[in-house]
Amino acid sequence: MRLAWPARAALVVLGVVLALALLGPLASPWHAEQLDWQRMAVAPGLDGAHWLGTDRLGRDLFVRSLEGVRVSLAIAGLATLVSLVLGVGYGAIAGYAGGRVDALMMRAVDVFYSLPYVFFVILLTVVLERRPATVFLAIGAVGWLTMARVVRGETRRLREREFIEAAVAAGVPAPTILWRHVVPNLAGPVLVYATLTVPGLILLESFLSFLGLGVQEPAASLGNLLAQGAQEMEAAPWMLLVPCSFLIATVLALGFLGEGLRDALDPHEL
Amino acid sequence: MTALAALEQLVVEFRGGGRVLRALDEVSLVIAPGESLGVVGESGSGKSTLARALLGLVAADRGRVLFGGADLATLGGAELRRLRRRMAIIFQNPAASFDPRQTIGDSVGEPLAVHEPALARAARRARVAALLERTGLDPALAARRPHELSGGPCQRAAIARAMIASPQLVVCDEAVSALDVSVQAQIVNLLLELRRENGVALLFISHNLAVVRRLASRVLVLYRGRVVEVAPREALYAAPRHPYTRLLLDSVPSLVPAASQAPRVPPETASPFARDRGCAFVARCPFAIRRCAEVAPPLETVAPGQAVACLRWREGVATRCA
Amino acid sequence: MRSIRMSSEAPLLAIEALAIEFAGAAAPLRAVDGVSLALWPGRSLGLVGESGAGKSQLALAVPGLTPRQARLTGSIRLAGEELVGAAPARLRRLRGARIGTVFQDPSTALAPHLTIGTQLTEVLAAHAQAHGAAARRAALAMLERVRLPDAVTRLGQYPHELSGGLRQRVMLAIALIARPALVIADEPTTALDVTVEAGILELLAELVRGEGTALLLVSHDLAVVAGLCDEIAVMYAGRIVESGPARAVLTAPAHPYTAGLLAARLTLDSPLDVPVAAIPGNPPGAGPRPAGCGFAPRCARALERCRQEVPLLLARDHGQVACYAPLAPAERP
Repeated sequence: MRLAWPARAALVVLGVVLALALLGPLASPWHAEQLDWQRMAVAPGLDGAHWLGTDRLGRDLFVRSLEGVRVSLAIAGLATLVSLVLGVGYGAIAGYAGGRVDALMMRAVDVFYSLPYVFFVILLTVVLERRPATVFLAIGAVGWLTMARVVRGETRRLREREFIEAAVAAGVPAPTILWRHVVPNLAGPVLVYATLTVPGLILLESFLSFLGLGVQEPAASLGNLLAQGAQEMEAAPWMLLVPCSFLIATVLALGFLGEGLRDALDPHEL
Repeated sequence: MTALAALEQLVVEFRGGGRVLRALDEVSLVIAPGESLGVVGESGSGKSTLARALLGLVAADRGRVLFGGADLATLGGAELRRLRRRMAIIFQNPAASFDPRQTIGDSVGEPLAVHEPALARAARRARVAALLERTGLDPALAARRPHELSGGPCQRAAIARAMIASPQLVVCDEAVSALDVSVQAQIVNLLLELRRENGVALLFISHNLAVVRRLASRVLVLYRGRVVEVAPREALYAAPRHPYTRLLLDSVPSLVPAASQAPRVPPETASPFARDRGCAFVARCPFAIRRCAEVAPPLETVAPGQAVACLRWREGVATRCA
Repeated sequence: MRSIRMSSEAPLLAIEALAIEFAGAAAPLRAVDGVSLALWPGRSLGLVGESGAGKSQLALAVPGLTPRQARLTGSIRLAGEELVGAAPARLRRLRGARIGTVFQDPSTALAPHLTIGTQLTEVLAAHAQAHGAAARRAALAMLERVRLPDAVTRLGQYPHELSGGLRQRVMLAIALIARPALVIADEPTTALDVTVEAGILELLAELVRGEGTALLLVSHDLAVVAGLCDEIAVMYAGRIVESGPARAVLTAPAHPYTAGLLAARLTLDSPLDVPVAAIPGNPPGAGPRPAGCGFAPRCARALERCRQEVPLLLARDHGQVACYAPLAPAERP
């Protein structure tokens, strides 16, 4: 499999962001919730080793932004994983079974789809405690619906293929066919779709946190950093620009990677 | 003679967009143990549906599919799977009939893994290797994936998979049609050899009359879902009784252009969804009379083992124009 | 007689030392490897070979339909005009007007969203041959020439409303409506039923002969070529291995591959008691090609020399053969 150059560049950017998120905070003398009483709301520079400046409370923005990247990526990544397991399982079974079972299962998905999504998430965060785990649950619960649809369509296509028919004709039981022949052949489209899901979920998490429904202070996520930065936009633009740059870099890189994977795995391309 | 497999007045229909397509229209046939039966037909004749119905891959809308005396429709899932050990299928496109993500060895060994789960992995590997070798392949190919093999070797592997659980019936659905001529001959020879060795019954489906003639001792001709003629090989090729069989024979391209005076017959213009009241071939038949469009001709026995569905067979219309 | 005619008249299509290369994982793959051939106006040439022979690549290079990633060297001249390296706009103008193309699968080669009438008149409009009512009249006349039943109704129909055989008739009509000097047909009947095939071939022959059009027909089936072509060129692994008058090549082949291909064909009178005379081995795939003659690994007559040097295509009684150990006239079937 050969990736086009934008996708390869995206891989490099992602690698850098991930390495920074994991190792960057070790390089700084500050940690995420530590207050620097001498330097509140200072601009990026070398003063006090606050390379990317501090917020109103004197917390180091470099460390907090990277903490935010970690939390946002973890939530989006885990939620994607959940949507992968649920979506692939559900979609593959519906697609393979076909007929009435398929119709019933997919109508259920349609019903979930028609629920007002944000309202549903707000409800969940209100009922449950506002912790990263809740946000993750809220996002994951809805994120798998599209995956299930993608997988179901793909499975229906696979079902028509002769190698599946050959397995049926050989007397292979349906669960074995699903596990050994259908799921491995879904890997391509599923991988691509998952790569494109992560940035969407990062944005969703940021959106919820921005509204104050997601990750709560003093914990950092890209969303609540943006929310705070937005309040100081005129006096201290770096408070918005720093987390914003990390968000854009991560989301764009994932987008390009997904695009590249789709092209590379597309059987119609040579 | 007890039948190995049989179709009785089988009707299979496909529905979509509010329309009904009758793929098989009251088709009956009997396959004796060890027999090789050829099924000839063009696109839309229902020949692939026939193959799938026989293996229980599509359900009958009416009529029965029997295998070893059991009606497939009455069997439970587990019973049907057990019965499938005794039958196998080889498809037209060898590359598409293998899971692209599995090794050839795993695919070929799959029927054994299902039907003889007690067999140790090493023993299964040995059986796969032996069968690959028997079909003329290097056993080392077991570790390869289907896209690494060209058409001929891939079809050999498909034959190995079909044979591995020692079935009593192998259905070949256009099994040599996608292959190059030089390779096609190899595969035909291999099928002939295996049949002689194992005494397996063969249902050989093809649009190519020359290939069917080589492999089948009895031939059934399908047109728009109906059996129009069934006859022993010698009778069918020497003296066909149905005008459509005649047309098929005359249409086989020949290297000596002067000899193949293919008759000018209008192409099929009727929709596949249209149901024929009379004979399905009436619009294209050079011998059609008014009654042909009104009465569906019954399949009449005209000689031992030979039956034809044509109102005018007694006049010998198809035989005479040879 | 024929040689005089050939020397006095310039060929319509002259291909010289044509090579088509694709970048491979390790070494580049030569799909077509140094092919030369000529086609005169009103004549027909059949390119025969198995998969991987390069026959379709060769034929599709003439109207400039070679995939973009391929590298083309050598020369293709149509009525003296060099087409290798010609501007895409120029090739586009030649396609349809001077070169008509018939593809294998009419169900994918016709635009599904346009009526048959539109697809026909489009060709005329693109080459400024006719517009409006005149184009419509020409389209109707063309559909009648390809003997499409109910031609008037068909003009307003979409390709999916027609059967495979009728669609291929429409393809023929599109290829021929602008009265091209050269028609290229790539496996025109392979996707069709046998009972329809004969009619299409007959029609193709009639259309081409009537207009003095030259025909380049690509097929894997010797019988298709036998019925339609004056000359045959047999290709294997990217090269022409034998060429000459169709009747002579098919009745007295000199190359072991041609002979093997003829023997491997199943016919309605091939003997039932002996195995079919198959050629051992498989046609070359996408991997590296062997040194020497491409057919040597499968050839029972191969000499040591065949595995080292590529035999040249040399004149030999009826035509040309590229073989160090050709069949003597007495050995031929």
